[in-house]
Amino acid sequence: LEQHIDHDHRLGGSEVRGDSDTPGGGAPPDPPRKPDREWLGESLRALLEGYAQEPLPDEFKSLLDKLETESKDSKTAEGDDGAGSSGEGGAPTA
Amino acid sequence: MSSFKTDLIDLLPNLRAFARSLCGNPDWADDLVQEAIVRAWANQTSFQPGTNLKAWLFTILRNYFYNEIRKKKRSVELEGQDGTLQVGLNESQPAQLHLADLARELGKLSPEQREALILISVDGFSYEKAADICNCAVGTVKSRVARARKQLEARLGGPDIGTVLPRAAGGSIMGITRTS
Repeated sequence: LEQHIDHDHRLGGSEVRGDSDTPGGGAPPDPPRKPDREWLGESLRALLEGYAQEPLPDEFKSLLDKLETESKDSKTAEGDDGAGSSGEGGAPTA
Repeated sequence: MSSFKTDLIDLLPNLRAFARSLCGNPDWADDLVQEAIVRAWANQTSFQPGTNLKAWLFTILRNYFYNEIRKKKRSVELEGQDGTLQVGLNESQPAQLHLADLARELGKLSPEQREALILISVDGFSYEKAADICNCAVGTVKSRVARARKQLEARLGGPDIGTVLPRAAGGSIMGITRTS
């Protein structure tokens, strides 16, 4: 909305581009233009998408596998000890 | 595989891109993501299912980033050798001059302005959620985003910067022409 308002300001108040209020016979209305400020958002998204599309290092996945295994081992150990834990709070610390 | 783990894996690309935009260095970004993974896993019981996992993860990563900055452990690395974010355009990304320019100018913003802009304009968070993540007032986020946009628009000169250069032979960063 803010972008549209900015764009309208740039067009100037005298340029009314409405359809229903415009009498017939004049030049056809200009096609709707994309707000100029949107280029920035689009460029930012393109830049960040480029980062996001880079292949993830295997170490992320192996780290998660390791954390999951440790978590399971921890719960198993608690069960073996007969501690009667509900399993909550078994997350390993860094 | 646990649902938490699956959801976490799904969000890794977003998390990594956010980290990259925060620190500007691919290696440092991966360190931030790894630490965020470890911390998120260790605290997963404090995450309430059904709430916004992405925002939660971004908050963890962001807090760790600023902790590192505060400790001055890596402040020197915040800038690349030429004082800019490392663009890192590669074979998989079209060599576009405007993206290199944008990355450079993005790196000149303060980290607070940069993160606010990314959270709002790229990740689509509401101003309220972005304020939660940044631990500041909604008005602060709005003013940071406005200042960041104004600064980038002034420095980059508008949509006409988007000239696409032909990909260089080999498709590498060599296709990028930096302006000084």
